[in-house]
Amino acid sequence: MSLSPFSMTRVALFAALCVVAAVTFRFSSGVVPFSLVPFVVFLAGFLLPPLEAFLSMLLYLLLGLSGLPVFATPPFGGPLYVLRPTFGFLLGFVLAAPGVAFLSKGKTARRIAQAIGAGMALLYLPGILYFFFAMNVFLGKPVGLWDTVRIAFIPFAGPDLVKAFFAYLLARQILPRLRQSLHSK
Amino acid sequence: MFGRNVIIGQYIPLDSAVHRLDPRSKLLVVALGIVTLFLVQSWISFLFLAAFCGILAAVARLSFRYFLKSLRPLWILLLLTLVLHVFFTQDGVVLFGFLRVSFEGFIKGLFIVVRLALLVVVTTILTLTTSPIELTDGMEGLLSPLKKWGFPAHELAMMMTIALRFIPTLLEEADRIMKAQMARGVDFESGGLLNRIRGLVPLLVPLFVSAFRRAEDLAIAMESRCYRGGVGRTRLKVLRFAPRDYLFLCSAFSTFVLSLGIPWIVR
Amino acid sequence: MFILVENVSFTYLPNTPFAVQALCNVSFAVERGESVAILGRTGCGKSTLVQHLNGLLIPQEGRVVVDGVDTRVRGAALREVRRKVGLVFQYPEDQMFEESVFREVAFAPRNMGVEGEELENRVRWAMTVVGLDYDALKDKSPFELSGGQMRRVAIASILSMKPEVLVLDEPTAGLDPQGRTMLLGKLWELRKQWGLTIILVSHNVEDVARIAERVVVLDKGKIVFDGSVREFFADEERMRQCGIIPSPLLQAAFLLRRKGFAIHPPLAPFDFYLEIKEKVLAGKRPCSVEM
Repeated sequence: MSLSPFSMTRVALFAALCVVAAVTFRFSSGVVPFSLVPFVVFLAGFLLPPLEAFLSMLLYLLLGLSGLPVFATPPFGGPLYVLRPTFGFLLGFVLAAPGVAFLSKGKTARRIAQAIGAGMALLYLPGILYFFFAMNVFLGKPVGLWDTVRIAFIPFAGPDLVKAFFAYLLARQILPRLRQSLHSK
Repeated sequence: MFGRNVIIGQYIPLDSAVHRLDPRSKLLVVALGIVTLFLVQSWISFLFLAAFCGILAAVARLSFRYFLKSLRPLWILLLLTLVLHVFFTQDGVVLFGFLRVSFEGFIKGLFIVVRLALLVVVTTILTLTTSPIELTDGMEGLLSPLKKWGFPAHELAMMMTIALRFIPTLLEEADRIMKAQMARGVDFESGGLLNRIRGLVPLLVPLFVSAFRRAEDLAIAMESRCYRGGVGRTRLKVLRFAPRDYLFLCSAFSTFVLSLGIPWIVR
Repeated sequence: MFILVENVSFTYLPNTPFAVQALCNVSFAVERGESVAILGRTGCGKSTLVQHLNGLLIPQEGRVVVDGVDTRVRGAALREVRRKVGLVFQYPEDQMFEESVFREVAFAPRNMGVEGEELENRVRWAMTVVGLDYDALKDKSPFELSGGQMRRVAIASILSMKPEVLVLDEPTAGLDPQGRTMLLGKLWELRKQWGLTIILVSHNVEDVARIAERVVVLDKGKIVFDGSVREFFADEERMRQCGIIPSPLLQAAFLLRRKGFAIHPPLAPFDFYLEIKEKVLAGKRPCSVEM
């Protein structure tokens, strides 16, 4: 696959934005009391083409796994992060962003709703499954599937849906400004 | 301001043999070390691996303090694991009527805890002695054989470097824009949730517009310098294995094999 | 005294290994109607100082008082301080986000409770005073304008708050010479015609010469000079020590001084012409034709 420098810089930009979102949550929970990373994931889906959205989340994942402290919760990075039961959600990011990007190509309300729904599904399915797998298999703290849904899905789904919706609203504001500012130069 | 901190991560710039090792050998050893740690089943193996880590840390001139710091965020997890294994293992001595305490559970829990701690130590040695740039170079180097199958190792490493570069820029820009809007009467800190979210619009819209512009400017700069991807691209700092790398790889490999095989030998 | 800065010291990220002391026991005062320039080389603390003037930063030591109110206040009182001292950041067009120029310029006063007809009047005034055509531009998107126009929209968006002091950080950065002259002219008008106090942060000597009457020079977080512009420009050695490069006009004047002519530091080309006429040419007569 050959990427133009324009794609590369955009991918790098959104990976960096994920880092900023995670770091902001870590250090300024006064101003921002919830993780903005899902917000950035959906925003990537709305603002970037599917391939770039996918690569930017993958890049964020790789940056964290290689040891840099760019994830939102302790230990913030390193290959050991795969041991965290919430690691599945990071995998979900990588799937959700391109999903949203692909489905939101049509600008109708129905398509956008589909995109948000698919994004949530792609985000939570790997998340819930991995949580179940991690707790039962290598952390030795068995939980049932329904309990997993209760712990990992229900408390977060609502706020994440809201974040997805706001990402859409923000993208709606940003896209026309982008077109105007990048064309008038 | 802490953008620089995130980029540097845990890296401590010292001049030791371990710091001077090729990042590729370090990455390989850490990967193999993690696999080994998951495979071992006996305490003697842990002893070998812990000794190896200890020697490495000493050569790298890393004080014990750093490892304590990196274990700190996990200590709750470790404690919980231990507690769960002490109290919830099936066969054990019954105390206090309802509480069941098991010595076997304690041993098993301790085993898991020590394994986790060693995993942290191994990866911490890597991040303490290898700068982010070295890490991306090392990964690119290790993954470049995959280029034959179309894996974009170079592009990935390049994008990682650019992303690292963008982080402090984005943080500074966000700070600037926030202050500029505060000077226009925006209050980011008070008000209900809905107000605060609405208040983020004058921060996020200009931030994204200027971020996209920066990305575009960088791409234009890359193109005007004839950037064509990884094809035929040369490096300023070429990664080369030195004798110390071979020594390192050999000693690491033998330690791992030994720690895996020791239980059989003892038996 | 409209703004009082008293024994202010400020450190970024105090008590961490990344602590940087930006200001060290800084004191000065600004009266209503003055035109002050804050000069200094990059990193001397100018931007830090200026963010104290409207309460964006609070000093760890000392205090800043604006129109009798300490900047440590909160809530409505702080908003009032931010209204009275309007701060225009460097490259202010980066902060724009609204759909139309009108909404952009109206943003600040709306945050301060202004609405309806008063709001419209404010926007119209702010845009006109910086030289923008209200009717033609009010509904356009700010992102479609030229660089110079965007700069002026950004400044108008601060002026619409009706501040009493206008603080500008490198207002002419990135503008072409025509844009610079125009902007500086508008700032001059703002002072003479509308009574605004102007505080200019710059390391551009020509801008300073054109607008400022008083100069405060910072070096490594301390004030090293506080006096009239002419006084500062008269001493070449001191200028260079503070890291300020004299403008070509001043350099020419210094050269002539070294040759023995008692030139006063010129603030504008016309001043220079007069000085040359009086002091240089007076010493030499045009050669007369031998008859």
